Amino acid sequence: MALGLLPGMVLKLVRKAPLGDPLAIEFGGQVVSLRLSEAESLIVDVAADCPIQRPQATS
Amino acid sequence: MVALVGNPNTGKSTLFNALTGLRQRVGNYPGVTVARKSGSCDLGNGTKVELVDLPGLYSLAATSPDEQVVTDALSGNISGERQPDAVILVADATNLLRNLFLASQLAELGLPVALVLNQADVAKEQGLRIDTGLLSDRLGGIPVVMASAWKGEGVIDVRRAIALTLERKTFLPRVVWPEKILAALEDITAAILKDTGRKVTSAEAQRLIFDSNSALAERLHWKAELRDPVIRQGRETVRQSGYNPLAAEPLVHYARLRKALEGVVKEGAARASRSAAVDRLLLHRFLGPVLFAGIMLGFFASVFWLAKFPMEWIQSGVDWTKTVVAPPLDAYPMLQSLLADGIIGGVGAFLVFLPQILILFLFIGILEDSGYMARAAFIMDRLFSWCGLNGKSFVPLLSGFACAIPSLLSTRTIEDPKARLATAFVVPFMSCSARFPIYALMCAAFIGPVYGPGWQSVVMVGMHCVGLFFAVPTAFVLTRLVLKVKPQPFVLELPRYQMPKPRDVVWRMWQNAAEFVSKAGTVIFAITIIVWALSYFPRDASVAAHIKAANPTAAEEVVKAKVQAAYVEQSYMGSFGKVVQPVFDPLGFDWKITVGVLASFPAREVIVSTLGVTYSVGEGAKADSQHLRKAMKDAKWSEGPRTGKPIFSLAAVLSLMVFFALCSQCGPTIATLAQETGGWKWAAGSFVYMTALAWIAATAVYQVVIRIS
Repeated sequence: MALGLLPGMVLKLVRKAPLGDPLAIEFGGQVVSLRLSEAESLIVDVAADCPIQRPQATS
Repeated sequence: MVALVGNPNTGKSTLFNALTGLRQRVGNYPGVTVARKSGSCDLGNGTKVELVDLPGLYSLAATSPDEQVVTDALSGNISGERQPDAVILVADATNLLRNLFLASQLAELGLPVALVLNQADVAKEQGLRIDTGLLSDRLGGIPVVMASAWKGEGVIDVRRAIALTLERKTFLPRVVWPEKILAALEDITAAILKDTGRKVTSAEAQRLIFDSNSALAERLHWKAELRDPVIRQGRETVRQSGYNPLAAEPLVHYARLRKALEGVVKEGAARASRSAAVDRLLLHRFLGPVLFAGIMLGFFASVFWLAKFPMEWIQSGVDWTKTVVAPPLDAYPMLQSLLADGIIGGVGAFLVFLPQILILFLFIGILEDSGYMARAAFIMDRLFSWCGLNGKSFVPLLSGFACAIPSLLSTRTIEDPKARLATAFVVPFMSCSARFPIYALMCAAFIGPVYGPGWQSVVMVGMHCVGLFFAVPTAFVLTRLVLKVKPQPFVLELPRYQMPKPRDVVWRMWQNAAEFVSKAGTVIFAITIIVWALSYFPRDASVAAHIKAANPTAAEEVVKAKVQAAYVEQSYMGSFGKVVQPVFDPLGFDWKITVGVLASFPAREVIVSTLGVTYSVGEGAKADSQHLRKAMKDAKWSEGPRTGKPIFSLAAVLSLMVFFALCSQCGPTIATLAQETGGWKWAAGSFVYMTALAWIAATAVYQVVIRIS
């Protein structure tokens, strides 16, 4: 949260690491790496303008 | 004194270098391994002020030792350190909101603050226009200046801003806490005053209530049974205000900052981010790892190849010095030996590693400053996370193949204390370049000629993997079973790519090398003198006469070598080797190898020259010495059940190499490990563990191979 990841923020999954974990997530003009185990604690809605609308699709 | 504070990757150190012009002093904060960098900064109005560059951090909620130092330094809680008179917050102009969170926390400390919006050039490139006047108004009138430390622009404005802050004492207004939170903070302050007699500031009370595990509680000597109910009650009060206690702080700060930043930043036409484009390539699913392997291979190969030549020069310089210094002292053999073998040899022994270490630090600096280091950690994290390490463990472990000491220093970049300790503990398992000579000697003498060059390469590569093979389970057991600390989340910013500034990289390389010389250099030197003394004394001159009389026709060189071997045999080291030999008997070592092993506990690379002496081929033997190879091939057991059989059987050769691959034979590494882990406990543990492991593994190898072959 110190990095400014706050409720109501729009997140963009930029990419996954080659082994599928961690994830590179963009928010507030920065890219941050987050392990899957840590990302699990985030509650995310798929945005209306997200190109892929399946919940398991993350890219 | 003025402190420079900021998030990582804001160019803070570049600004510090620009402000102080490298007139810096580097020391250590008491009790921790965090470097204290300070320098004299000209304020442009004829006065100078001491500027301290504090480690980069995102929040005052300290998790790593680096972050703890910042919090302590700013609150004036470090003994022998004054509280700074003002704080200069360096912020990344392209990401103001996040950077100002730290500023907002700093306001709680009640110190005068100035704000530097660094990387102004990048902000301009991105089409951002920042109204510094408006921002200053919104932040209580503190000085706000734009700068680009990389280009050297705006540095003079920063100097003026520092002067202005010291003169006018401008404060950033404190956050307006919701009533319930304020009440909770007051309750905690009152409880601490009652229980410990100490009056804590509001900022300290905030750390106790907002951080899940603040180190502050321990240091207040506030007993857990008194503390826990108070903090629990405080968090309950916070919850009544509608905030989750562990999220309240960022939420309140960010809410006020959002308001303060309204209309301050105007976004214009932005150019496409170059970093994103580079990442598409460097972090590509398939290409990324390939490029990563290429970069790391190049990094590692160049450490060896670039260092090769200076190392040879240093070696021949040392040898040359000996030939110059020694002859005039022929009349004083003890002094001659002390100077040539002890002092010059001792200085040479560590100077020879300096080129590798310099180049290693240079490359680490380039990788860090360019932003690729974070990507390397991102790519490698999954490979390390399962055994309790993290992506940042990769570079220290890779560097360990060159030398453990700089690798141990580079573990400081790992925030998670558990992963940091485990990484430091397994770094000495990596096959450092000091192990190479013994592998080279053994392979060239006993593997290549008998089994062919193919097997020689296999054994060579295999020996480099032995350590790795044991390091991974060690880390796993250590993090899972021994260090029962809650794992820290591994959150890592992937910063913008940037061209490293040569001055900063070279300067840091120089500082790190100076630290190596002052710390490791003295240890290596002292140890070399001790080993020299143990293998020199006692010395009975009649031994020489006796050998000369027994070999009247032999060449002078041969006699000299025999005399030397006889001297070592009767020295303390030789006697000790014979006494201890039974311990190494299951590994297939005779007393001569045992002496070599004992002599190389302080620094393993001396094994080859010690074998040279004990096997009577003279000192100064190198791994490619034909005489030494022949002497070793001819060596036979002279007593016991193996009488007449060669000492250097395949079993003994493999056992000796495995022993050297695993054994803790490096004084400076132990000393550095003690320093980096904050005590001798882990250093002693590492020594016992590695040595025992080496003994067991080498015994197993010897006993199995001798039965098969």
